[in-house]
Parts: sequence; structure tokens; C-alpha cells
Amino acid sequence: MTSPEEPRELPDAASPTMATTTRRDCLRLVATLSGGLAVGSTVVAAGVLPRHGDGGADPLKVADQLAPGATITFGYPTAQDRAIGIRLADGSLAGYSTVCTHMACGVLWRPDRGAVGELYCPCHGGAFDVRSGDVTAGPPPRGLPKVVLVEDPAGGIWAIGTARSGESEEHGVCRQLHERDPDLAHQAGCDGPTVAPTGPVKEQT
Amino acid sequence: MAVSEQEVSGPGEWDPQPRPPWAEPELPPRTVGQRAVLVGVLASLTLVLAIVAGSRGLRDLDAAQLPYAAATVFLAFGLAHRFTCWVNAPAGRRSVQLLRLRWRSATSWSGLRAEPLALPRLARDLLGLPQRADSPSPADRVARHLLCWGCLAAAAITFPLSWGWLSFTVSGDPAGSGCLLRLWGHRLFGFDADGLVGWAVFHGLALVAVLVVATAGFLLWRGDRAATGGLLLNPLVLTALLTLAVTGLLLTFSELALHGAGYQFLAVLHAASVVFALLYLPFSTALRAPRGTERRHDQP
Repeated sequence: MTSPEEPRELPDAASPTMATTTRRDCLRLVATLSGGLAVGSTVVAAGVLPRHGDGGADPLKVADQLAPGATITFGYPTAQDRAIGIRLADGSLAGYSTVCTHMACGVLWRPDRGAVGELYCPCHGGAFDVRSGDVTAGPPPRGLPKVVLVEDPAGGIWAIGTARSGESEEHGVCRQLHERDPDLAHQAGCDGPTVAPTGPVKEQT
Repeated sequence: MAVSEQEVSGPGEWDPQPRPPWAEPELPPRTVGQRAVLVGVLASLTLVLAIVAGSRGLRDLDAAQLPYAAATVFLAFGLAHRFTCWVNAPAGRRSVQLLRLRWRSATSWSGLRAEPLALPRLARDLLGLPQRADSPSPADRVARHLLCWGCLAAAAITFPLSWGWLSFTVSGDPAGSGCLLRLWGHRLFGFDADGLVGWAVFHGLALVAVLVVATAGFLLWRGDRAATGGLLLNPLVLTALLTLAVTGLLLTFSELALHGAGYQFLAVLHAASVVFALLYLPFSTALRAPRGTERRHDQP
């Protein structure tokens, strides 16, 4: 006779009953693995994990001047989104999130690597092309998200938007502009080139 | 809760007091199995909350870490479930009582004076570290010590990493090589990514894996010549550890020698072996009560 307190259905760990892995144990393990995989994939696909360097914000002045070969770090679109701005030797500007797309490590700028330098993640040796953000080596699954940088006439450097991995800067800025102000996006030509009418417009009936 | 008649009919079992007809029916006490599931679920939920909080709202958790984090949640359920069952079994109850006695004795002034090493010995038994009597030879003992410490070091690195508690950020000039190791978003220490410390930090798991491959391989090779018993001498556990370590080293090989070629496939292979081990371990026969508890049952 056992009371409900007694573990009659759960024998001691060292007993022979627990000493073998049964077919049902294997089935439970496989079911748990498969179920976990399905749930995990759904959770990731649903966008539960935040995207680093994604989203829009008001333009942010990140530097008054940026000489060729110089770099600047800043937070954009939020202060927690670490980003880097680089003035390449040819004068062009490149801006990227410095959060690696593999394991979210910090990305370093290595001017001595490659033809014009590259962005390098020391955690697992990931490398990114500085002009496109694409992966050139290592395990990162996708390129670095971009931070769109522009220069004003006085030489000030502004961050005006972001673009996702593999997305063009124009598309990224337009996407964010559409989300924030569709009219402004239309005026900026994000809906395609605006063609001025050249002749009398026929009234449609 | 459905209650069968057999469960409530026997004398000496659950015997509810007479209650007015309008009262809610009194539920029988929970069985050990139900209690174990409840404790397991609570442990899993606690870990999930800790992961969300420690990774700053999942900000520091990458998709590549998610399978590992999910496996540890299942591991927490399994360990809590198994521990609850064990504690409620007669042998487990006796072991817990014995552990309490040893703890009180080891932390009392009189106990410390009489046996100053009682507390370290208690910690050694709880960690499952090998003892002189367990190993037939110094080589076995050294191998078991190295394996045990290797596993503890790997767990200390892997779990916070897979929970998104640890993160690496750039410090200072991004064109330099300064890095910061952060825990829960707070700075732990800074180091040079190109220096020896940086290399050791980024490849800490690979260094531990070398240790595990050597010792687990040695103990598997020794086979029945080594002493039996203990979690780390179970052949399946040793094989699982060897698989984890080898697939982890293959990742490092891909990173260092192949510029990341084949990394995605190896990462899936490594993740699958880790997840399988973490899910299998709590329900395997390898998991036993902490050593140093059963052997004194016969003592008054």
C-alpha cells in the first residue's frame, strides 16, 4: 500500500527500471527535438528577435568633418545600435551597423586588409566588404546592415536612414520614408520617377 | 483534475473530510509525477525570464544561439523534474538529509575545527569531482579531473553565451583592436582582440574542447580498466562529450583554416549534437545522485 506521496510510479534513478532507454524514451526525445525545432523556427520567422541596426530615425549629425581614412562611431537609429562611419581613401562614405550578423559580436575596421580595407569580426573571423557590406569570409549568414550617410555642404556627416542586409540604400531610405510619411516619400520620388506631363491631358471618362 | 477511484479509495491514502455540499470538491494531493512536472515547468519559465532579462529583451540573443538556449530550457525542465523525483524517492530523501547534515557540520565552528576540509569535500562531491578511491591509477584520476574541470569550464562559457548574457563590443577606436566583454550589457573587462588574451577569449571553447577530446578519448580507450560509476564515466556521456568537442573543433578549423567554408553545415551538426546531449542527459541513466551521499546511508 502506498500513499500518493510515495513515488511508486517513479522508481529510484539507480533501479533497473530506469537503466534502459526505451522506445518511448526515444520517441519522446525525437518529438521534443522536432517540436522545439518547429517552434523555434516559427519564433525566429515571426521576428521575435530584434534586428540590429534596423528601423528609421530622424537624421543625426554624427561628425562635423571626416577626413579620408578616418572613422567615427555612433549610435543609429537608436543610441544602442552601434554603427561606424568610414571615409574611404577615394572620398566616398560608408556606414554600417557594427553588430555582426553572426552571434552579434562587435565588428572592427581593418584598413590594411583587402584592397580598400574590410570590416572584420574577431569572434569567428567573419569579414565584410566595406563598399557593399557583403560577407567575404567566415560564418556570418548575411551582410552588414547599412547606415545611410550623407555629407552636407559644410562637410558635416549625417545619418539619414538604414538599409537591411543586401538592400540598396535608396530602397532602405524609401521604405522607412513610406512608413513614416507616405506623402513625403512620394515627393522624394520613392514611388518611381515623376514624369511631368508634356501635352494636354485628356480627360478620362 | 481527474481522480480515479483506485487513487482515493484505499485507507491510509487521501481521505477528505466531510464537507458541505455547496463547497468546492477538495482535490487530492499532487502525486510525485505532477509535482515534478510543476517544478520542471517553473524551472523552465524562470530560465526563460532570466534569458529575456539577461539578454536585455533578447537584444543580445542571436538566431544562431537560439537552438542552444531552447535546449537549456528543456534541460532545466528535465533536471528539475528528475531532481524532484529523486528527492521524493526514499534514497533521495536520505541523501538530502545527509547533505543537510554534512552542510551543517561543515559550516559550524565545531565542525570546521574538527574537520577543516569538510566544506571543500562537500563541494567536491556535489560537483562530482573524482576521488582517490574512485580511480585505479593516477592517470585515470588526472584524466577524470581534467575532464570534469573541462566540462565545468565549458558550461561556464557556453550557458551564458547561449543565453545572450555575454556580448562583445568594440571599445574606443573602431580601427584599433579594442574589445569589451559585457555581461548583461555591463562591462566586465576590456582586451586586445589581436592579443593572446583576445585569442584565448574568442577560442576559449576550442581550448576546452581539446582538453575534453584528449581526456574523454583516453577514458573511452581505458574502457573497463577504469573504475566504473559516475556521470562522466558513462560511455554514452563520454561519446556525447567527444562528439560535441570534435564538432566544436571542426568549427574552429573551418574558421581558422578554411575562411569559414562549410561553417554553416558544421554549425548545424554541432548544434544538433549539443541539443541532443542536453535533452538526453537529464533523462539518461547516467545521471545519478551526487556521490558521497549514498555510500554513507548505512552509517547512523
